[in-house]
Amino acid sequence: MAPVVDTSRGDEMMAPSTAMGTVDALTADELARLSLLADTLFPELGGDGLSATMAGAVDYITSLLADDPTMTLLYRRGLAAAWHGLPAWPAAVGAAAAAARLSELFEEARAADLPLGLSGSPTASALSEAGDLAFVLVLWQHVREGLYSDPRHGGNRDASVWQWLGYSGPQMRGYTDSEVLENRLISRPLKTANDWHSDAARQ
Amino acid sequence: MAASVLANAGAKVVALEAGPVWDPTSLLPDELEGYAFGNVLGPKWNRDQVRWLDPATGRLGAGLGLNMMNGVGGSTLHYAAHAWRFHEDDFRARSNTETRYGRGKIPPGSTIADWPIAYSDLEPYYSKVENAIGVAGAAGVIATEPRERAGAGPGNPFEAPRSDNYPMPALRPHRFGLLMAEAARTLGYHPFVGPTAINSVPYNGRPPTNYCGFCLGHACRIDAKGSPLVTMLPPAIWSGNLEIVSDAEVLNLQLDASERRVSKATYYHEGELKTCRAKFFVLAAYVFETVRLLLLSASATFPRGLLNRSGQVGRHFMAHRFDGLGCVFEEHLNRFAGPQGQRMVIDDLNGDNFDHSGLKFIRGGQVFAPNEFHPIQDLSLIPPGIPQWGPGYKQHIKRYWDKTAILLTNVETLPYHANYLELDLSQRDGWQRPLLRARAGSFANERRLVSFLLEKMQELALEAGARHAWPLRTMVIPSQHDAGGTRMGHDRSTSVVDGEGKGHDLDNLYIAGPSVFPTSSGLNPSLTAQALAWRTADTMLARL
Repeated sequence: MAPVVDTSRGDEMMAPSTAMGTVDALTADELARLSLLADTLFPELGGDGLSATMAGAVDYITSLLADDPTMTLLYRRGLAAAWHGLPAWPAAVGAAAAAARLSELFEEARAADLPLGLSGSPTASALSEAGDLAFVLVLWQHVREGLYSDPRHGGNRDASVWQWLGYSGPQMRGYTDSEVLENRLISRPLKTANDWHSDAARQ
Repeated sequence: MAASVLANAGAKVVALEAGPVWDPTSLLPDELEGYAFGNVLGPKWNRDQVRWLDPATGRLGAGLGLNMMNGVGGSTLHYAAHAWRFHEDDFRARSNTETRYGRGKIPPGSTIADWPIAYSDLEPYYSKVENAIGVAGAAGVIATEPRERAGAGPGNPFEAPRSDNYPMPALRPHRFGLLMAEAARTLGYHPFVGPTAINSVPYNGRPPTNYCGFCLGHACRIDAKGSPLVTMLPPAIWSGNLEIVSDAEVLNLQLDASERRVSKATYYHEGELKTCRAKFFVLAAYVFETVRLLLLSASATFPRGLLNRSGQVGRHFMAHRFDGLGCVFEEHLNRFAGPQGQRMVIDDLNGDNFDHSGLKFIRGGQVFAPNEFHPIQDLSLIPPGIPQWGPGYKQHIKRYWDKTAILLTNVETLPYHANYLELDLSQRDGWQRPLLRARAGSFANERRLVSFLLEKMQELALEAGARHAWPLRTMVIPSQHDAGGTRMGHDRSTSVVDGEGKGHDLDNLYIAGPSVFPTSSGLNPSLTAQALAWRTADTMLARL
């Protein structure tokens, strides 16, 4: 059977092959490693309570992996490769060591000059050909999605990152001329994608 | 478009559409749902992806950066709705280049060719489409006015002469666009808000845009975007002359005994193989599937595929590049508050609108400051020299969220002998039919042109007050504006269809869509594709 592409992620991901069978979800240890790397990419600063994990980005990633054995395997291999040279137990890894390892991984990915898709993450071919090298780019892309996307996807917990930025979310009743031309960030009551139906009903 | 024109004129039409009928109101205003993340493209398109082979490296990539949408209405459901008429010169790019600069100016390996029709042949149809779907813009050159007044209006002084004004005034400018416009004027350019098929005022029973900012890659939930789905198709359906069969995948076209006419289309629908017989056929499956279907419909007379005696099917493939700059300012831009269609444009560096003497390239590109930028993309755009992740990244985005923008160029790419579409025998669909592969590389002409444009854009960005302005890494074949593959021409040894879109060598097969373009222009293709389709339909009506 020809590969079926996951329509929810477009050209950059391949859905599971029927021959692959079941793939175990990430273990607690793998999740701890994932969380550490994600929080190194997007740390809590000055007590803002918004590391990647706190903001729900890791939850977003685990929900992505739940129905995607191919991506789960990518993460499994990628986490294992990323951990090369680090203490086995994530809690024993210091922030500096994690940052240094991520820098190495990003440099290796940059040197590989992987083809990137419209969203900036590696294309499916890059994933299949360069798997481990592409992992750090995929991870960072997913962390960003988990931080900044609509909360309906499992990240951006309670729209906390949007609120930290000052972004009001989708405003389906639009904006006025004066709002958009003034030199200030438009501020409105917070909305999420699921609010659009009630907004539309009021128009 | 062709189906609507034919049906509205009284012809009985059946439209076979591979995708579903989408309900725009079911699609949420969610950045992750938009095209940049590959969503909502339709199951068939995601399944039967075109792969790209880079001739320079021989490497086979996965899908192109495609954003075509399978569904009734096609990509007009989620496009940015830019609605441009090509320049007069675009129809004579080869001969005008040779006349002005000499034959040696044509890049080696390029198969650039003049169109078999002139802008004046298409002008009435541009007007028809603009009025039918509703286009908002400011005219730059109206034919009834003296030429010396060109540029006096708020529109594009380089546009081809129009017989009338746009149906609606241009969309309002946006903050980033105004910054760029002021800079552009200082540098001697002529900025204007680009034309777009988005209502700026109520039009034909549809509301104006509310500038919600979920437009490009998103369906319009209030029908302010001029897709044929909400403009041309409804009256055609209500007339009783148009039957749309959705989720119907056409597998091949078959000829009658004379092998001079297509007799039927075989398609798969609701679990059955079915056939559709007709007097005329219009193949409008977008560049890739149009080419693929022709190649898959071989016959005794056309062993290499329909209309392919000359080996021209799949040839002269073009895809616009979208190079650009990331820019960071010190002021808020609110770029999430409005559609990309609000783009502020300069056309001064497009086509042959500037003197190429002494330059080592031909043609040009549209430079524009678009609107519509949401958090994931905004916060992924970090200048070099700034930490790309970690504490420094977080500090940067806290300060510069909503102060980042992109300045883009829509680069005209030439057709080349080496760039073409072909069947990929190693990749097959569920019917075991080969998928399509694009052999497409970048050439010196385009690289030099891009380098030139980026330098000009850097000047523009810094003049506008950008704190940082840096070239973006772009896909060589982003594949949002594909063209060629079944180009039109007088000479059947170098073209597939004639100037009316009728296939050479077959009496009743027409092709609609940008696959018939001989050149790609530096402007968005959809209005030209729709105008050509209308013209093709009128040609067919004359034969009914």
